[in-house]
Parts: sequence; C-alpha cells; structure tokens
Amino acid sequence: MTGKLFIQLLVNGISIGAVYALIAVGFALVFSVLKFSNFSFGGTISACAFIGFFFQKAFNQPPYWITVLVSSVAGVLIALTVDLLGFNRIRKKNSPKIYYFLSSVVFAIMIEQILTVFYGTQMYAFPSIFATTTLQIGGITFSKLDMTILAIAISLLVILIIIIDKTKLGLAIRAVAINSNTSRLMGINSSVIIVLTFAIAGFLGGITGVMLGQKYSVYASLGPSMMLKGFIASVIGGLGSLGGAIVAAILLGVVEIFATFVFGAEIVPIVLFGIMLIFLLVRPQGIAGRIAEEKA
Amino acid sequence: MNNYQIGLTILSCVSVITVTGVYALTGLCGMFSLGQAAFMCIGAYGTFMLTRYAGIPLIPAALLGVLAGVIVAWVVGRLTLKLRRDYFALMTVALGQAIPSLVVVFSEYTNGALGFTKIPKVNGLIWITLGITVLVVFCIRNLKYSRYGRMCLALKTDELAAKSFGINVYKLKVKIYILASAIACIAGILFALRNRYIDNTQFNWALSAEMQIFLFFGGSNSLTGAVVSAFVLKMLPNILRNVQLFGVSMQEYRIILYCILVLIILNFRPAGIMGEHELNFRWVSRLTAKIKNASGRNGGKA
Amino acid sequence: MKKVLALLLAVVMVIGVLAGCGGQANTGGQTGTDQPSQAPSQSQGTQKDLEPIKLGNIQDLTGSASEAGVANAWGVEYAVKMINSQGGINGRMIELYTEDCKNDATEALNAYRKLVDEIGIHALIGPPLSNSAATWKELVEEDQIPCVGHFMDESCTTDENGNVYKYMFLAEPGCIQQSYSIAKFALEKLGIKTAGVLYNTANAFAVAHAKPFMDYINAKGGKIVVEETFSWSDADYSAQAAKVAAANPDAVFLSDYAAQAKLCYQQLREAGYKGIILGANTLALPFPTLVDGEIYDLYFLQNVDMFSEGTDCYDLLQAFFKENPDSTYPKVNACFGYDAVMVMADAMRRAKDPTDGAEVQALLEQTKDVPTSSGPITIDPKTHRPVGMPMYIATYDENNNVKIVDKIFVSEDALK
Repeated sequence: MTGKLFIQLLVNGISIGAVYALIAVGFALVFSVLKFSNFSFGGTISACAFIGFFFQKAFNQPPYWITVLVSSVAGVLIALTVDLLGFNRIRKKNSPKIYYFLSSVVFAIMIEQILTVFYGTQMYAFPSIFATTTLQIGGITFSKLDMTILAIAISLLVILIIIIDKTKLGLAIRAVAINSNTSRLMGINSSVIIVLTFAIAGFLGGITGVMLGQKYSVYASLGPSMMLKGFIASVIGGLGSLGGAIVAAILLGVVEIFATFVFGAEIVPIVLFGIMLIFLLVRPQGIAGRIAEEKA
Repeated sequence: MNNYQIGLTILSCVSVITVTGVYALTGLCGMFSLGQAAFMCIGAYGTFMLTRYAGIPLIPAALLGVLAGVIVAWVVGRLTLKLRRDYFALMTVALGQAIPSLVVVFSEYTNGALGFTKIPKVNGLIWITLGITVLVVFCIRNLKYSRYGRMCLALKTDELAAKSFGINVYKLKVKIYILASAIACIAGILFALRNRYIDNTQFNWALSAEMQIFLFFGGSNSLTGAVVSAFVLKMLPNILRNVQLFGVSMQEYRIILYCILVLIILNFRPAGIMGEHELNFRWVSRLTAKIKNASGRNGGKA
Repeated sequence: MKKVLALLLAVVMVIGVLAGCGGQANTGGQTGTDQPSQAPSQSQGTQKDLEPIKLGNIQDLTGSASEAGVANAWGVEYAVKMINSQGGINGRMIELYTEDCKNDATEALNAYRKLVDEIGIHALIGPPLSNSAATWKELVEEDQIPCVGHFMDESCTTDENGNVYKYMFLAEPGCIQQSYSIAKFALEKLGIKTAGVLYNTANAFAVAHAKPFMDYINAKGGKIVVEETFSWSDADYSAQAAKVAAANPDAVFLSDYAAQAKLCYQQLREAGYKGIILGANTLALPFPTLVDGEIYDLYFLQNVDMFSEGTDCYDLLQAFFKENPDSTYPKVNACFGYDAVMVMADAMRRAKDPTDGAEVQALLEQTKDVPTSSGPITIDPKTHRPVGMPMYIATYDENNNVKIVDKIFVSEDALK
C-alpha cells in the first residue's frame, strides 16, 4: 500500500465516518434522555430520504437548502409521531424499559415495510443537489459530495454540542438525562424536554436522510442498514455521550474502509462483531468513559 | 391434507419452536436477542454440510449441528451476558449479521449466495416436526414452573434483588441463552428439511425480529400466548395469499398489520393478548364451571 | 435445568428413531396429491382431451425483483392469450395460474407447493431469478412437472457434476455463455490485456457471472489483476473502488443488479478510474437514468436487439408498450416470459398428451429451432440449456441511447 493510497483511504474513511457520526449522535441523544436504543431512527432516515427525493422530483429542482429543510421538518414530524404513538403511553404508564425497545423495533420494521410495499426495494437515484464532481489535490481524489457532507455533519455536530453545553435548553436536557424525576422537582418540564430531544434527533435524521440518499441513492433499507453502524459507534463511544459517539463513528468509518481494503467486504461484519466484542469487554464504559446508568 | 398444507404446517411449527426458545430468553429472563435466526443458520448449515461432505447420517449430523450452535452460544453468551441488557441486544444484532456473512465467506463449501441444496428428503417430516414442537413446548413449560423458571422471573424483574437472594444471575443467563439457541438450531434444521434449500438471505434480522413480534403479540409472559400467536400469525398470511387490498396482496401488508397490532397491544395491553394467563386444566375446568354456574360461585374462589 | 436438558436430549433421540424409520429413501410416495389429476388423462377419453392444460407461472410480482418479474409475467400472459386465441394446443386451452414468489426462497417454495398440490398444474414457467427456481429444481422431478424459465445460473439446470436436472429447462444463454461473450468481446474487439472484477458475493446472479468471466480472460491470454467484492448490506464501495483504481486494469467487469452496479460505476469513476467498464445485462436501460453524470466507455450484454425494427422481439415490445403505457423503456423480460411459453407450447404440441409431464419433458429435450422473440431456440439435451444463441453487446451513445455494437457467438464449452 503506497502512502498516497493510504491517505486516500483515510479520507474516504473519515467522510463515511462523518455520516455514521450524524446517525450515532441521533441515537446518543435519545439514549441519554430515555436510556433505550431507539431502533426506529433508521426508519426515520429512510422515510426522510424518500420525502426529500419526492420533493425534489415534484418541484423540479428547487434550491438544495429547501429540500434539506423540508426533509428535516419531515424528520421532526416523524420522530414526534413515533414518540406519540410508540413511547408516550409507555412513558406515562412507567412501563418497563423493554417496551420502549420493543416499540422502537416495531416502528423500525413497520416504516421499512411501508416503504417496501409502496416503493419496492429498488433504489431511486436522487437528483444531484450537491456538486458530484471530484477534486484532485496532490494525487488524492476528494469527492465534492463527500466534502459537503463532511462539512455539514461537522457544523451540525458543533452547533449541537454548543446547544447541549452552553444553553439553558442543553442544561435541561442534561438534567433530564441524569434523572427525569428529580429534574421535574427542580422545575424542568421533563416531558417537554423529552419530546424536544426526539425532535432534535428527528431533525438530524432528516438531514442525514437527504445526504445518505444523495450519496447512496434512496431505498427502503437505506436507514436500517446504516443505522447499525451508527448504533455500534454510539455504543463504542459510550452510550449517551455525544463527543465519544462522534470520535467512535469516525474511527469506525476508517476501520471499515481499511478492513474492506485488506480483507474484503464479506469479512467486515465479522470484523465489526469482533471489534465490538473486544471493546465491550475491555472498556464497557465506552471511549468517553462515562458509565450510563441503567435506570431500570 | 395435501403437501402444500403439510408444508405450511411444518413452517408454522418451526415458527412455534423458535418463538418458544425466544420465550425462554425474553419472556422468562427479559433478555432481548435479535439474532436467533443466526442459530437457525448454524443448525441448518452445520447439519447439512456434515451430511453432504462428511457423509454422516442425518441424526448424528443434526446432533453435531445443534452442538455447534451450543458452542457458539456458550462463547457469545459468556462474553456478552455480563454486559448491560441493551449491549447484549446489540451484540446479538451484530451476531445475526456476522453468521450469514460467514456463509458467504465459505462459499466454496456452502455454495454461498447460490443456495445450498442436496438436503436429504425425510418422509413423514410433519410427524417429526409436530413431535419436536410438542416436546419443546412441554420442556419450556416445565422450565417455567421449575425452580429455574422462578429464578429466571426473579432476575427478569430485578437483577440486583435476584443476586441478593443468592441466584448466580450470570450463569443462569448463559444457560438459558444456550437453551434458546439450541432450540433455534433444531428449528433451523427442520426449516431446512422442509425447504430442502437454504441460503444466507433467509436467516436475516427480519426473521429474528419476526420472532420477537410474535412473542409480544401473544404476551411475553404467557407461553400459551406465544405458541398460539407464533402458529397463527405464521399461517395466516398464506391463507390470505390471494386476498387483495387496494390492489396489493394482503401478504404484502401482513408485517405492517402485525406491527400496528403489536403497537396497539403495547400501548393498551403491554402484557400481550394472553397477559399472564396460561392454558391449563384448572383454567379450562374453571371456565366450564363458570359456564355451568352463572352465579359465579366458583369464580369467586379463583 | 438438568431435567430440561435431559428431556431435550430425549427429544432428539425420539426424532432420531422416527426419522430412522422414515428413512431417506426417495419413494415419492408423498407426492400422491397430484396423482389424481394425472390419472384421468391417461384414459384417452375425448371429453378429457378437451380439458384445459393447467400452466403454472411463478414470478416475482412484488419484492426487490418486481421490475423484471412483472414484465416477465406480462410476457407469459401475452403468449398464453395468443396461443388460446389461435385455438390452443391441439385444441386444448391453456389455463394460467400465476403466483408471486417475492424474490424469497421460502415464498417460492410455498408458491410451488400450492400450484402443484392445490391446483394440480401440468407444467411450470419459472422466474428469471435463479434462487427461487433452485428451491424446486429437485422437486419438479419428483412431481413430474416440466419447468421452463430464465434462471440463468447453470446450477439450476445441471448440478456440480454435470448431471442434468431432468425437468428444468433454460430458455436463454446461461451465465457462463453470457459472461464468456462479454469477455470475448473485450479481449478481441476492445483489445484489453488486463481486467478487474467488482461483484456482489451475496448475489447468485453476480457470482455466476464473475467467475466464468475471470476464467475466460485468464484462459485466453488476458490477466485478471484485481478481484473485489461487496455484499447486499454495503452501500459504500470506495475502498474497493480505490483498490481497483490503483491496480488500473484495462477494463473492469461490474457484476450485480442495476442499483448496486450504479453505485459501483459512480464510485469507480469518483476514485479516478478512467478505463473501460463492462457489465451484465442488468446495465441495460434504465441504468443511465440512475447514474449521476456522464457515462462513457461502458459496454454491456443484451439478449436481444430491442431497438431495431423488424427483429422478432420488436413487435412484441410494441405490444408491451401498448398494454403498459407507463413503461418508458423496453424490458427484455417481457420477451423472456413469452419465449418460455413458446418453448413449452412447442413441446406440448408435439406430445400425445400435453398434460403428461414425463412425455413433455422428453419432448422438451428435443426442442429444435422453436421460433421465439429471441430467435430460434434449440435445447441441448445434455445441459438443458440452449445452444447456438447469440449475445449482443451494447453501449450508450452521448444521449444515453442504447447502441448495439456487436453480436457474439460463443459456446459455454469454449474453454473445455
């Protein structure tokens, strides 16, 4: 492997890792507040990709930011609907955590099936909304699309971290994450914060959907297949930690690209399984090192 | 019954067997596995590669196939069951992806994506399947009412409290996981015997998820509910095969319908259709007594 | 727990005994249900002779292959309608029973069992996807149901030792012949020296194309310099693309369905690969509508010339467009469905009793020069695959219109 090829793969790995980071953060947010893994997030991403795709088709190439906005609003709405139909009653009744998990799995399957029944499992080509040409710098190819996605992902993540760390809303989210009942006693409207967290995750899901659709074309299992990677990243990063999730996602992207290059694509799921197993055994608290307390 | 109906019955029985295994894991112990299809895959491929390449007769090969599944479950269980419950769930998802991709890696022997055939024909498979189904369900029923079953329920409700009562939670979990996986292996072998064709895409995560849906539909605390829903929900779409709704066959909608039903159940009756109830003789006699004696004299006693 | 384990072991033992009694002998006694439907036809009553022939048709009407499956089903229906309107087969009408297999092996088997056991079909038209057909390749022999279809994978018609599956017949060139054709074209007409392959190891179609392509190139003086793979769950092929671009072969063969091939194509070009890209018949229309950006130096396989007036398939496709006004491009699968019925009908016409599976099977083996939309079909009784059929090589012009550039004759025994 030449040095140039090595850097090329690194660049590819980081750009795919940025996408995983967006998904992982969507996961980590919901996990930090409700302490369950929201499997339905993958479905939200697919659905948003389809909505963005049809919007783009219907309005004959509107400016890209309108498409992104529409699909992120759709993401918020879907996330809120899922919360209302799937989690709201469970939360009110204080049912065991396992029902959240089950409910999200059911939603994940349902959204994928709805998309499959109506649009089949074939891929739809997203009309280009970002530049799709490539750029050569010092013999290394940079895809403009990848760079755009990377830039959007990083800026979104920075904004999100600022919101969580510096604003009152962020403080409230962190408080609810530690203990929702105590937060309520402190005058925080926990249920509103929880709904808001879902909305933020949905917003991220919407943007991720458009970008993934643009990069890999739109199909029903787009979100779910990517979701597992985001999920793995959020676990390795330490469930509930945003910074850890981002670092882990980028690492995951790089490892995956190199593993594919060296061992071939069919070995990658096995390699990922092994990495996760080792990681969870050696460092179950994740990269971030904060142990997410189980509320159950 | 013709071959078609026999085939469907076998398929439904396979579904009952797997869901019974998942019941032991999720219903009794509260552990979520989204990778039980991987064990069906191990059982099926393990057994029939042995019969095909090593020329081992079906029965010892099936035993070895189940043994292979048990070993994998033992290794994975030992490593992951000390972790949080959702880490375990995640690991099972990853396992569910890793095993079918192993089938592709060893394409030379498994025939990879082209599908594995030359599975021996077994006459009277329906009777064997029914026999195994009854026995597996009977075993798990006994497990539920045994000391182990009560220990499982204790650990499901509160792991810490269970530990304080002197239950070795970790060991118990590993044992139940191995048991559930061995049952999944048996189901996988029957599945392969019925189809006489297997490929890696059949054992995907949708199959694992389907088992969980069936389980929670019937009620994760009721073995009766799980068994009945696993049988009926698997059979129903094939009966509705040619029923159309808005120009799309009902079979297409089936998963969506099941999802909606499960969501309704989760929202309004989280314990599932059967709740905690089990079908047993006391229950039947009580019901008949109730019908006989409308005054409810016996009902009060219960 | 010990009790449970002991009981489970007991279960296994009991099964052992049961299964041992059952034995693994192929007595065929289980298939009794379709016997009655065949018995009456043997008594050559005039009344019985006019009973319709029940033709099964299993296609992917829904699921990931529905695009091809629906067109295929249309072709079958069209052919059956045409035969019936011309007086049927020796005066007997064909009754068509179509079932959906959803590109799922278990569903395919359910559909097959339903058609055979509930309907009592006499013959079967199979889908263009090999995985579904593979589920019943051994069963059709037990049930004596001749099956004609477009399951290209050789393993659907012959097993690994070259023994033929007696009741399975292919009505188009198999994967080996098709990939030899594109390899031959690349070596002889494009003059390539080195080649690479990029294919989906989890897709039977892709694997069955990639291997013979590599064999041919290596055997005929070329060299395979890079072999890269991916699987269904992957959407990012940039690592593979980077490796291919680094090896920089003269041509790369992409082997998978259109959607994945599109991603491969795009990511190969993004990785800076500028050479020739070759593809299977999945890269036909609507492939260019999927790809962002310019398509150049792309050559792919076509079974028929669908674009020149006067070819056998042209009229058929016009009929297809007329009945499916929302189709924007010609689908070769419409021809496939039609061809399969034509081959089957030809054998049935020659049979004394077209509902006798064994007789029709024997006559299918003698299929010679049956006119179909893909030209005359002659089936080799040793492989149950057609011989002497050409493959077309096509490319896209600057307006992304298909242009046929060559017609290749190559036998699947070319390397033997």
